[in-house]
Amino acid sequence: MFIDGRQVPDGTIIETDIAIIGAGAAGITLAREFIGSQRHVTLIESGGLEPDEATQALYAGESKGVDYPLEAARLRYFGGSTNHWGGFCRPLAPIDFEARSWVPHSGWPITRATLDPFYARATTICQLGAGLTAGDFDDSAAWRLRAGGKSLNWQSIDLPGDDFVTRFFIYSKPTHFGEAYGGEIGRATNITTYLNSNVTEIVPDAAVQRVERLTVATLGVEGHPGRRFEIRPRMTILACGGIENARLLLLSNSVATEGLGNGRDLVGRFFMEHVHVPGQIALIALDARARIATGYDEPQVVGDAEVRAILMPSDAYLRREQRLGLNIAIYPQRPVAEGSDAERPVEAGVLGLLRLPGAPDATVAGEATLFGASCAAEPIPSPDNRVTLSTDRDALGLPRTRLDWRPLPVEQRDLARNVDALARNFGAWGHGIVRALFTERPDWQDEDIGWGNHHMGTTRMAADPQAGVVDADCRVHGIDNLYVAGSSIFPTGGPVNPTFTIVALAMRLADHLKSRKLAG
Amino acid sequence: MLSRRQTLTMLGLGTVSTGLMLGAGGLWLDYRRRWETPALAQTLFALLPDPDGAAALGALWLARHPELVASPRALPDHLAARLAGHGWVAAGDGLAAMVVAIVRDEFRRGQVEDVQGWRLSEFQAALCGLAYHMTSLPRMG
Ligand SMILES: Cc1cc2nc3c(=O)[nH]c(=O)nc-3n(C[C@H](O)[C@H](O)[C@H](O)COP(=O)(O)OP(=O)(O)OC[C@H]3O[C@@H](n4cnc5c(N)ncnc54)[C@H](O)[C@@H]3O)c2cc1C
Repeated sequence: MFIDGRQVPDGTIIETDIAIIGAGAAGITLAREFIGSQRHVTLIESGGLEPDEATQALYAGESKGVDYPLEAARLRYFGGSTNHWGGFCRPLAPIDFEARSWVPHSGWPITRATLDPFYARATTICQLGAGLTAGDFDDSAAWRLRAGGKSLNWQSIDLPGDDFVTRFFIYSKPTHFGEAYGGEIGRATNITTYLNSNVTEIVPDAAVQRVERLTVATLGVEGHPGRRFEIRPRMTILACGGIENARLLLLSNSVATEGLGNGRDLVGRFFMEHVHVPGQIALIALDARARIATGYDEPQVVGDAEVRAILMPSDAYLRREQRLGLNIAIYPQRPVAEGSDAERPVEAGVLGLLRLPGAPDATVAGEATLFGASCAAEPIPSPDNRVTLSTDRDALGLPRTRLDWRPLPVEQRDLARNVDALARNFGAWGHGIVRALFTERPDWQDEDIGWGNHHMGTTRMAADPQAGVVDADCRVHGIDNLYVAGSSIFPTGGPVNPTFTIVALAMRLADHLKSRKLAG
Repeated sequence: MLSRRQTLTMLGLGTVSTGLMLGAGGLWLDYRRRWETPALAQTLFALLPDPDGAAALGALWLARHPELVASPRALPDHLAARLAGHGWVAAGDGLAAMVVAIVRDEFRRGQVEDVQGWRLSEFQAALCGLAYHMTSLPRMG
């Protein structure tokens, strides 16, 4: 059942077993897991079923460091940011979960093996295709088999040595979680969804050991003031997205003045994004369609799945060179022949080098293509990159978000060195020559920095309460009935898009909650 | 079809080559006068499928290596030394294969030059430099 929070009488108190705050990828995944269970679930969503400007404006904030578009980088209505995501799905790799000596603050309290069964389940809700496993993201042989004897249009980029390997993204439709699952959530007799309802504070008991109630406010409409009501849950899951999760914990300060779960000043810190360097890396290759990019340059349909090959540094390389991870997606930009008058002579020279007698492509005829390479880099978790509260207030009277994010110099260095390694490997392979305008510098230049709209790390997971906000079960340290879902719990972000992992972790959390007795 | 001069002007290389000439002072004139194209340089040049394109890259590269412009023999010697380092003894059919092997080896070892972002092996870059010299020389004979 859906209820518009603006119709709920002021002062109403709603009791429930489980409250889920936020109906995006994480919140909807969790709610679905409880359909038909004995537990009553209340899903509280800030927006309605369609976007509206006033609600979206609640996401506006202030950014220091990188000029980050806090409002445009997320959507605040049922389905959350999945209403405009790209659908790129890939699990984190085993190495991403490890404590690596060269990545400060790295190490999850769980391993990739813990998540494998949940990744397999997540393929269904993300609508990636039937019968997929976590292993399919790494295995080109599996795709050849899956093609069922039909010829798979694929040419591996077999760079020499073991520095780079081919891996796969599998695409979600992209599934808009609100549209795809709103129907079943609406029909579920044990789930009530409150729309247009903003949780403004999570209020604990005096000892700050249990959540007692959630205060909820709606925006006023046409001269009518907003409504205020309360939810009293036995268990609460915060699922408002990677930035808002931290903001809401910081806003929850009427009992714990430093904010809920923030006894060690960790909430909001360690914010991470995947830096991209748009337009700075390119590759020229001959006879491109047949020889190099097929399967990499665009998704291939295999049965009911859409897959796309990417290049990634191998674990061996990352360990040997002690580098941060990277994912490299290649896309065609234009035929070389269509370069500008200034570009053409130089690019012709590059092509000529690929066609030197005796070179692997010396006799390859046909068009040459200039490819772009989109590189998304793994970030380092840094306590100085953080979400705090601004002195500005939103329409509900709450302090807005302030984001202070500056990618670190070492991230610049590693990305530049990884790109150098890529260029060397292509050169040694002989089927392509790389151009990298992005070179090693002492620090980032503003114009270098693009991002993925991936907000991670602000309520990081750690077994030790001194080192993280939530424990390995996603429970806020010290607060018995408060959990967090979403990429804010990632202690490190790896080099790939987060939502597939968000969904897997949400499924794992649902299993954990089902196994817990409800107290109170 | 653009002339070589038009092409280089468009690349902004008119200035580069002038700079090279000025930088090398009287040596440049001397270079042009005394140049006797060694057979090896001729053979290497003949390998290039697109000499003008290579020259465009070469001009960009040479702008950062004035020492290779300062003496007429520097660049051919540089290339010959690299070939010799890989066991090259005399001109012959194996030269092309040797060049490809050197290029691969240099990429593997990280002996790479940045030419306006394009990552070329040192030998490739020097070969382009040679193309620039060869196409800049007045035709003889
Ligand atoms: C343009 C774009 C492209 C993207 N492409 C990809 C991609 O290809 N692959 C990928 O993995 N990821 C992608 N992402 C990121 C992806 O959208 C997010 O990782 C994902 O949606 C996060 O899920 P979530 O449930 O944690 O948060 P969200 O989906 O943001 O959902 C949070 C929900 O909480 C609600 N909410 C917030 N505050 C409150 C409150 N106080 N009270 C009640 N409700 C509240 C919001 O209205 C929202 O519905 C992309 C993002 C953008 C912006």
